[in-house]
Amino acid sequence: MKKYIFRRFLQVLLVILGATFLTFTLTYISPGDAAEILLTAHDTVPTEEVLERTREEMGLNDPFMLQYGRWLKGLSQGDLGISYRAKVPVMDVLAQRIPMTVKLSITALCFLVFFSLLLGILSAIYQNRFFDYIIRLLSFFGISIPSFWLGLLLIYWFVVKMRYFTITNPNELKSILLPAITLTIPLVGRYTRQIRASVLEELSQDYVLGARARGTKEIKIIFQHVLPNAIIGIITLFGMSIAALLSGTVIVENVFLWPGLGSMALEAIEYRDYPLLQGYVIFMSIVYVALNFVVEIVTQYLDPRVTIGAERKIK
Amino acid sequence: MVKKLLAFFIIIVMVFILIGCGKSVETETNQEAVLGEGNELKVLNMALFWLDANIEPTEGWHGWTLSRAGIGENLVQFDENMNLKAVIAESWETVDERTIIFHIREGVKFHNGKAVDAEAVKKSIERALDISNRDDVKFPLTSMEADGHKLTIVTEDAYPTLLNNLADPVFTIVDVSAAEDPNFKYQPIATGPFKVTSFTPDVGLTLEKHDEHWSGEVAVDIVNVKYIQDGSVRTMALQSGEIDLATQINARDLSLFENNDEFVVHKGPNLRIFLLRFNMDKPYMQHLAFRQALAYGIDKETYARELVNGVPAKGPFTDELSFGHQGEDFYKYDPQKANQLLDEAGFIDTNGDGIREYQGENIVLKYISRTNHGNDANNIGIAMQSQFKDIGIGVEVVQVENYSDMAKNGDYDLKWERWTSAPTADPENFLSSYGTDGPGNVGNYSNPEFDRLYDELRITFDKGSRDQLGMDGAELLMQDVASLFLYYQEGTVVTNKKVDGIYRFISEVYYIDERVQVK
Repeated sequence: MKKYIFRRFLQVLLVILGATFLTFTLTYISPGDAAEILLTAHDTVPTEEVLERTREEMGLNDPFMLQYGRWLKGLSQGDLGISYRAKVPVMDVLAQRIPMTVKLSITALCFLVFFSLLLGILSAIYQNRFFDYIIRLLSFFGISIPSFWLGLLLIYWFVVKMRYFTITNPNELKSILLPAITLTIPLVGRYTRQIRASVLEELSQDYVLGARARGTKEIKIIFQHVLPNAIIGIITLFGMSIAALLSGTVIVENVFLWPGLGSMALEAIEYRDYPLLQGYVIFMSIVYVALNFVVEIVTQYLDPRVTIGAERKIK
Repeated sequence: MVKKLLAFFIIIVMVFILIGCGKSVETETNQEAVLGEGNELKVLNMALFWLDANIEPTEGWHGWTLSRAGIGENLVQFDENMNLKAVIAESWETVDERTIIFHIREGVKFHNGKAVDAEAVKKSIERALDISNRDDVKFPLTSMEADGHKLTIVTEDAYPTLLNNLADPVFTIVDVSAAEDPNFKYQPIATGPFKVTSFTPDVGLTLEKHDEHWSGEVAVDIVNVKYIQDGSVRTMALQSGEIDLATQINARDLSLFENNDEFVVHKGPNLRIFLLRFNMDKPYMQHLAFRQALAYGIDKETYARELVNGVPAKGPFTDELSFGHQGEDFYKYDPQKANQLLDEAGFIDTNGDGIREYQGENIVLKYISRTNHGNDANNIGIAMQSQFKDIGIGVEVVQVENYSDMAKNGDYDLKWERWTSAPTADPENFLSSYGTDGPGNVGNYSNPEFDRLYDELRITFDKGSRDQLGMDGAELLMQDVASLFLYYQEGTVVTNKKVDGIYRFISEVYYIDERVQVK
């Protein structure tokens, strides 16, 4: 296990190095000058002297490898640099944004797990009956609805018309509900259909027939036998969805004024804020590698035939 | 089992509905606590469409937030009609072309209670000159002397726009002794009717009234300034009552508030001009007739009214400014005239493919804009593509995330630009971008007559003469078709009925001041 964790750690380092180098290179070669973007944000044109001075201050006149090397050296000392736009340490910007994204992701995840399992199982149990058709129709709509439209629609009904919620107070407890629901609905649509298919597949297995023949209660069959087998394949997908949620969701964040990582990353790209973008990339690298690790552990727990850190074995 | 699951599902849904049904505006209700019998706190919730990472006034354009939210004040400022007014300075006198004496108003206090005298103002201005990166508003200072409430500023040379520059939010008067505090950039100590109590990046600010403001009692106790970038969300926040005041409402949403007794709409052109700058290095652009044909070939009126809900532009400056062109547009949409001009100038379609040629090559103009210029830039490009077809000119519409490299390399014919044309109520800044070596003159426009006017403007002191020179310069650019000036943005301020004392400032540098009231 120790060896495995060490290997994972090395993997994180390699991913970070690769991802940050790639991001730095791509942003560097993409057109645009960070100093100019920053200084023309208010529709006025700076003088060439100011531009040059700003470029010098930002270190943009240095060669590419020197800039990347300097950033890497800072990173080795735990310094992620200063954000060009916010002019505060990148760590501080991330520290403000990450909790908001984590809060939103966890809430969305809770909704996702609860509703997709509930609807997926119900849909499978009532296969080809009215209830199943309704759920399938709803999940179809869920997948098809664009997030920004759904978000605006929810705001219109629940904020403007009914005034149940507010959108300008992100720190208010209940203000998380609408963005979380907007994020969840398309995902629930997708997962409901997948869970339905997996549960149906398991329900047709001989062990289910045997359990029923033995007089085992239906609820026990579903939760103790069918579900653990049915969700094994979906766990990996869940892991990736969690990572996607944690990476921030630009549209939902913008519509609901949610100061999360998605809009931050977009702004960092727009302003060519290299240090902030690199900080984001590091965070996401860690999230993806860590989630892969967690998914493996959960999969092993649910399916003991899988052994962590080894080839898949059939005992 | 199914029944149990359904019951559980229903319970969860009920819980969410109950949470949702709670009183919605909790934070505001807390603030609207009763101070004493009959003394309810007056709270204003306003939206800003732009918020920088901090509000240190000497950094870039961050000071705009201070002026927009009534936090910062200058010696002099521009009122809603772009006239200079005395603020921290009670009056001023121009001694000669290099010297101005300001008489500082008695009774002005910083947000921390310290009195403002000439010495405090001097330090604040010196600080801005020293550390600001805004070279465009800095001025060459010879000396600044403070004597009680008298401040004398002497510039190195005649500096006609000194007052205009001092009105820029970069020169917001702040308590320099408090600026050492690292928190100063989030809670600057200024003199405006409202002081910052909290600043949250990307979320907004909370302000409370400055009890010792020089104007007397400020009528609003708390201002919640909320950063709402998206225009649709600002509209919905106004409709839901979460905010009382918002600016830059999408034109298509304005009808929701106009003819609605609950809201008041103020609108009119602001200082933002949208234009297409020519790449004068392209040989055909050197021909005046060609540029005139392009000007005749576009229906600005329709673009402005139907595509972008703006005000059609005649020149760089709106006629609400004292140096704006007051007459008719020199080139109104006239495709016949455009065709005639092109024919006469020798731009002929010899191969009959519908596109005129220049030196054997089809003339296809590359029209570039940035993605953050939005659909408006693209839509106008497409409309132009269609209209230029009628005059035998091709257009390739390109929208990229960033066009600075294309601009530097001259890889364009028409470049979409968006300018705040006279933020300090003076024409010099914008006109400089058409001077032969002027900053921002990426299209390499050059006109000796214009350069002469511009050079004269730079040394002219008298406001009336400056206005005339500004107008002459602008008209010359219009006649010479130095650019295609398309439209002015329509500035909008929408408030609900409970707010009073709101004015639409043409400059959009101010949204609220000491006159604001909440009923």
